[in-house]
Amino acid sequence: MTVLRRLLAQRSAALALAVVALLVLTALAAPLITWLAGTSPTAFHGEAVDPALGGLPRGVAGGISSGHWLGVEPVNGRDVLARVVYGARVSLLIAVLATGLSVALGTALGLLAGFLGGWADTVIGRLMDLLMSFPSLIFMIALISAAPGADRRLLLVVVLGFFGWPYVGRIVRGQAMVLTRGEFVAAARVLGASRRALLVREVLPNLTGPVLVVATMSIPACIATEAGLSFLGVGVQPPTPSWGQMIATAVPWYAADPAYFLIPGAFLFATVLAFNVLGDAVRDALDPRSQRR
Amino acid sequence: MTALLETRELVKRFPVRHGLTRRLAGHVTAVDGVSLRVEPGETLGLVGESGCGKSTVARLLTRLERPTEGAIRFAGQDLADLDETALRPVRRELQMVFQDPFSSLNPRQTVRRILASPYQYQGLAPDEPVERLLERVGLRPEHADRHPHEFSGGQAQRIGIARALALRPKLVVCDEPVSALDVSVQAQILNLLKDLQDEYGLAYLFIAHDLGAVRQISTRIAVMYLGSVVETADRDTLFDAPAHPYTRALLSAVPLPDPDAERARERIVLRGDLPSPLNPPSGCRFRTRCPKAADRCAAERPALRAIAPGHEVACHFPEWNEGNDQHSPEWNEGNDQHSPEWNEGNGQHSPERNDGNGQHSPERNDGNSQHSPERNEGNDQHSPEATP
Repeated sequence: MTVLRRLLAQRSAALALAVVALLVLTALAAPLITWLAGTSPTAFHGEAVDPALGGLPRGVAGGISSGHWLGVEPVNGRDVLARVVYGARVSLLIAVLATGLSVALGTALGLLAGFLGGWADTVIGRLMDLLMSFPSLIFMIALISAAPGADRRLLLVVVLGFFGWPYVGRIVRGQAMVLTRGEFVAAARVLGASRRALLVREVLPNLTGPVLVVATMSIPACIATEAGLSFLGVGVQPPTPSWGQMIATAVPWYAADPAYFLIPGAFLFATVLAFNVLGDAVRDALDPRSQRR
Repeated sequence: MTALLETRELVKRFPVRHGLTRRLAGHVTAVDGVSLRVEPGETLGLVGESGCGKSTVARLLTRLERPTEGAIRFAGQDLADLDETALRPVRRELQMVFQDPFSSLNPRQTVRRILASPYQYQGLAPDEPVERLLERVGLRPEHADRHPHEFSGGQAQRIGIARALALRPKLVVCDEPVSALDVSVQAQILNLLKDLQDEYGLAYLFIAHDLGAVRQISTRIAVMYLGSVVETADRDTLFDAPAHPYTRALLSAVPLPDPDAERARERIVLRGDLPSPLNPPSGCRFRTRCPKAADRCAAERPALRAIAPGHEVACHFPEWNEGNDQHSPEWNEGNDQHSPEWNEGNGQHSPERNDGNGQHSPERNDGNSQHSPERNEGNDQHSPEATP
C-alpha cells in the first residue's frame, strides 16, 4: 500500500481523487439527489420557461431557483441538476465499461504479442497499427448511425472499447516483451515452467502497474469521446441524459442562456481534468524512478 | 571417467534482420564450435571478454536457446534437440544462477513463492521447507515473507542460489554470478558456492570475466575468444604457463598486488577491438590482434589440440613451457609473488591447497609479510576471500 501513500502525498493527486470520488458518489446517488431536490430528469416543467421569449427559462442564470437548483432547460423546462447527475451515471458507466473492455482486449492481445513474438506479434502488431491509424471518429459515427435500433449505450461501450484496446495493447506488448526476455522469466524456464505458468505467474502480475496507468488515462478519453459523439448526435439519445448531448442542445442558446451551456461543460471539464491528473499521479506513484522532491 | 556434461562443436548463429521488411542481412555467429567437458563435482571456469559468447554458451547449455549445430550431452542424453516437455525432467539436474540477482527474481513474488516455484514447475511436492532452503544459503527463515527489493545484492543472489539448488541439481551453470556484486560480497558468494559444492557434490560451469574469481573457484579453465575456446587447462597450468597469446594478454592485464612487481609487470596490450562476429576474420579469429600473427594464421584456422595432457590450445604458434620462461620472466616472477597471497586468502577454506602451493616459495612468503599492509589492501580487491 506504499503506492496509495505515495499517491496521496501529492496534493494535486489527493484533490483529483477527491473529485473523482465525489463524482462517482454523485452518479451512484443520482436518484437520492433528485428525490431530495424534488425533481426528475425527464419531467417537463412548462411553467419554468417563458413561451413569449421562445422558451427561455424564467428567472436569473437559466432559471436557478429553490425548485430547480441548477436551473431548467430552455423550451421544455427539464431540471438541469437532475439531468447532470443522471448524465454523470451514463458518462461514467460507458467510460468505465469501455475502458474495461479495451483493457481486457489490450492486455490479452498485447501479452500474447509480446510473449510469443514472431508471427503472433506481427499479426497483432499490424492490427494495432491499423486500428490506431484508422479515422476512428468517422467510423464510429458511420457505425452508430447505421444501427438505429440498437441500445446506444451498449453500442458506445463496444465501439469505444474496440477502438481503445490498441493503446493498452501497445503498452502491454512492450512491457511483456521486456519481461519475457528478463532473467526471472529465464530462471522460471530453466526450472521447467510451462508457457501458461510463465504467462500467468511470472509475466502477468508485473503488468498491473502499467495497465492501471493506461486504464486511468483511458477513462477521461472515453468520457470525452462519448460526450463528443453525443454532441454530434450519434451518442446517447434523449430522453436519456448525457453531458455531451446537453452541451449540443445548449449551443443555439449560448448567448441568451449561457448557464445551460456552462453547467454541463464545467462538469465535463472537471471530470476529465481530475481523471487525467489522477492518471499522471498513478504513473508517478508506480514508477520508482520518479523520485519527487 | 564419463563427463557429466560434454558439448561437441556447439554453434549458435543469430539471424540479423534489417528494415521494415525484416530482410535477412546475415548471421552473427555468437558461438562458433565450442567443445567443453565438465566432470562430476568439478568446476570449469569459462573466461573471456564481453561479447565473446560466454553467456550464449550458458543459455545453450540450459537450453534457453536452441543450438544451431552441435551436441550437448548431459548425463548421457543429448539435449540439443529436446523439446520443452522432454527437457523438464532434465532441468531438475541442470540449473542456472544468473548475473543480476535482482532481475533474476520476480519482483512481485515473495521469497517463499520464489523458492516454492521449482517444485511447482516440476510438479513435485516440496521436499524441503523454504526456511530450510534459506538456511542452506545463509539467510534467516524470517526472510521468507519478504519481497526481493527488501534484500541487498548479495542476499538476493543467495536466494537465486537457493532456488537453483532446490531441485538438487548435479550441474549448476553460473553466468557471472558475482560480477554485479560488491567485492567483499563476491567473496562470500564464492565461498558459499564452494561450500555447497563440497556439501552436495555439485559441478559448476562458472562463467566470468574476472580472472580472480575464476582462479579462486575453478579446477579447470577454458578461455573463449570471439565464440570459440582458444585454450583449456587446469587452473594452475593456465595461470602459470599460458600457451595461447590471448590468454597471455588476458593474464597480463591483471594488476598485481605487489607494487614492485606491478611496476615491473609487462602488459601485453591488445590493439584494436573485438572484431564483429557478423564478419569474423579469416583463419584464426585472434590474428587481427595477435602480436605474433603470421601468414599461416590468416589462411588456416587453428584447431584445439593438446600440447600437454589436459592442456589444449588453438594456436599455430603456442608458447611452450620453456619458451614461456624465456619470453617473459617478469610475468612469472610477478605471478609467483602473486600466488602466496592467494594462498593466504584461500587458506581459510582449503588448507590442502595452501600446502601444495606453499612449497613454491616459503621465503617469498616472508618477503610478502613485510609489505603486507599495502598488499593486503590491494589484494582485497582481487582475492575477496581475504576479507572476513
